[in-house]
Amino acid sequence: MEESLPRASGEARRRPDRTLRVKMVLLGSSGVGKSSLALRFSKDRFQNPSPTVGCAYLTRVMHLGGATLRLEIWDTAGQEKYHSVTPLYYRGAHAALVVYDICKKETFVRAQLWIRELQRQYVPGSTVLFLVGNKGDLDQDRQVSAQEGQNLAEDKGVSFTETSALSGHQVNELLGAVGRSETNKQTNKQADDKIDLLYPGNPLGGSRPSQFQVFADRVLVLVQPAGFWSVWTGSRRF
Amino acid sequence: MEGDNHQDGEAEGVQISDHSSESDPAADTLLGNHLLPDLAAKSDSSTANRNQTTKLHLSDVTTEEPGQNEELCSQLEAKLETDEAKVSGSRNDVSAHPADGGAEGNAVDNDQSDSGEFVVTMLAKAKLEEQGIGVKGRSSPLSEAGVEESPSFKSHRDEDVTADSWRQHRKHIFVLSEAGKPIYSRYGSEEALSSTMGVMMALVSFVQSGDNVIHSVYSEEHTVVFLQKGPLVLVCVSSSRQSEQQLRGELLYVYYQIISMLTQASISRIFEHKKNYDLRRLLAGSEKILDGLLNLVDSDPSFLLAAVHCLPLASSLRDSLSQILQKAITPNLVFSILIAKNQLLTIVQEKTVIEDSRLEPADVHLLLNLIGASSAFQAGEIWTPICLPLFNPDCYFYAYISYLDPPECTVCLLLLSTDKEAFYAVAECKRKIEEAMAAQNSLSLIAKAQLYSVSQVGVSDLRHFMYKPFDVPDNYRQLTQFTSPEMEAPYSSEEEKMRLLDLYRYMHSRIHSTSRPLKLIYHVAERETLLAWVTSKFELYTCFSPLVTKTCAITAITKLLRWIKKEEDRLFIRYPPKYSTTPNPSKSSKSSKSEQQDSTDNGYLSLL
Repeated sequence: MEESLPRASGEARRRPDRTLRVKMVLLGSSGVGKSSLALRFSKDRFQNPSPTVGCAYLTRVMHLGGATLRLEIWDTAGQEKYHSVTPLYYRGAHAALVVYDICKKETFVRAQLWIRELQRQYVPGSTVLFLVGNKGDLDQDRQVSAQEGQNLAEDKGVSFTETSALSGHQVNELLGAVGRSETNKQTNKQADDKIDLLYPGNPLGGSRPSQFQVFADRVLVLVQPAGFWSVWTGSRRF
Repeated sequence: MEGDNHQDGEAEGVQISDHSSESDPAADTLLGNHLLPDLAAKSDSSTANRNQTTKLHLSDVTTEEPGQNEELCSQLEAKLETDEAKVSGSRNDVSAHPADGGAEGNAVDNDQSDSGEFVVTMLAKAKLEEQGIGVKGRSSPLSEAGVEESPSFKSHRDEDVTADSWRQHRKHIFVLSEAGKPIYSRYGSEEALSSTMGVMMALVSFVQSGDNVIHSVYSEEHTVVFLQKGPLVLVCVSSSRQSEQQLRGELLYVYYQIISMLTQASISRIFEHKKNYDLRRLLAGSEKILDGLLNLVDSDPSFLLAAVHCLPLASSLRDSLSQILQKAITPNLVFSILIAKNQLLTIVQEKTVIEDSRLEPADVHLLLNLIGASSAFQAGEIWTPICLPLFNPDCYFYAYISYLDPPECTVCLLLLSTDKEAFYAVAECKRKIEEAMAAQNSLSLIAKAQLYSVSQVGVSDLRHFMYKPFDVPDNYRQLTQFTSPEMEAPYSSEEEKMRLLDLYRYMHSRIHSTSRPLKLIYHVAERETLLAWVTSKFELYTCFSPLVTKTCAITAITKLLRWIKKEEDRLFIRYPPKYSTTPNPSKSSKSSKSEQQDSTDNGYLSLL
């Protein structure tokens, strides 16, 4: 995190408009490998962690297409005593990764409960859910088949993948998927904003702008209502 | 136990609402317990509960200016005469006092003390018989709250409890609920020990049924100490020759560590609601923290002295660090603590908080243990609810924990806020602190700081000492601290360290004995000579080479006290600075009071 942060801020200074903040939260039973995944995400390392206390916050800066994503990873504790505070962490998340251990059936059952809880809480479309079967390297002890995971994911309408935090298998792909889902979402949102801006429900009576120009990353919209010119400045950066 | 009723009274006012859904949408607002409310009321009860070892026995000591050499000498000598005789029989009389508990008037009656040996054997032998009964209650987790979390981080848990090696552990600690359900065992799995714990609970309730309280059981080999706190029963089975008071103090630390994770209010509420609740569900994953605490209790004299050890640091550097912390503030921040090598560097407190109350050493110990026990902190920034049991046992702080020097991870910043939403604001404080420390090159200066060697004192024959001052500068109710040099040869090996600590523990138990407190002990042990001395201004334990004479020891102590006086700015946090983050304290305390009303149910009920 530390090594990527300066890079991010340098990046941010140059093209502040291109850095997207993505809040991502890892949920699931204790011992399924949330912290290991988080460590893979942020530092591409593996170490045997001890149980998370409360919630760990890590960051990772990622370049995707033309955009820079600053992933804020909230790695929650799976222990039951912290469940009452978990909403604090997943509220407002762009992406939620519900993790289970493919070698432990009960963590898979718990994952379903997590998904149900999230789907009850979140605003549709604001949070993208991923179901993640972790510990793919322990295939010989598998208790949950990939098909079961896939079925659940389809049933709930969420994305599905199996990973291994130990070997790093599919971890970057997963991160890429999270990033892409977010850039798509934000691009769509920006496109919406653009239209809002070009046709603002504006104080001047809703007239269509006749001309617009981009200056210094801001849009200047020239509005021509009933014979005189005025300038409308877009508040949002492009 | 005496003085425990306050928490029952508290629980009475608590509303029980039955949330059956395993995660309540409102739950997130429920953890927002604040701590500032009714501090005054709390502080009474918490002082009553505090570890007895902090008790001082200052009866007739009148003059103890370190500099007054002659008076000191005569005083010392007078004491020494009377003391030496007693000390010779020391080894035996530690184990020979079933009277100690009896003196308090409500200990076990005689026939039980006599059968102490039997009880201990029974506890050890109770083993696996009837094990099924204890386990059954646990096997239907799905019906209760989805899926049972399987605690997957086990170290001593797999130990065979029928093996001799299990019985030979120096100190066993067990925690169980009033219903006899196992909650924690230091060694071996709780399931395998459920019948043993059943026996313990039987003992407790048998004595209770006669309107009495069981304090301890003595046998030749073991001391069994019981401590009941609310719905929890803590038991220590020790062969360490520590005094009952000391062992009880250690059990209290275990209790506080559990409270720090769950709060007293929620534990009472849970058990009020469901007597046979399996608290292990909530403590899953925290065994390591309790294990770590017990290891620290055994190896770190801070717990014995109920004082905090801070890293020796040039006072200018410590002041500059304090100033950095003082400047990086945000609303609702109450404590900023800087830690290096698991020792305190500096601590800055919110102004209104310090007026009401100070941070207790035990709370600092729990925080340090939490940080030390979890390597997970090294990965990123942590944001977690935590309760400081002596500050307020029923409410949560929100702790921000981050290391400032990755990847070495020796310097750790701990910021405590009362606002659970304040993560980003508090994380911003960390950036400020980080920047300021980089500008002043503080990290490399801190890295140079280390414990001092006893040779710096310049007193030959002095091998080690522990000095705990009580002289608090005016108007600063400050953290109780102690100073101590590194343990060097011949105490560099783990066994020898432990041996010295045991000697200190023995001296401590004599000084603080309830039946016959002493102010001064000169103890000639097999391989060293120890002198312990308590006055109204300090408590001092010293260890000399075995050939030292009394006169030498006395001169050495005078020199040592002079040296400490000279170095005190470096050895202690002298003037803990403050900041103000609540512009209108009266208003804030009011609002947090109302919030506490809401937070009386902090979400655990939803798990039942």
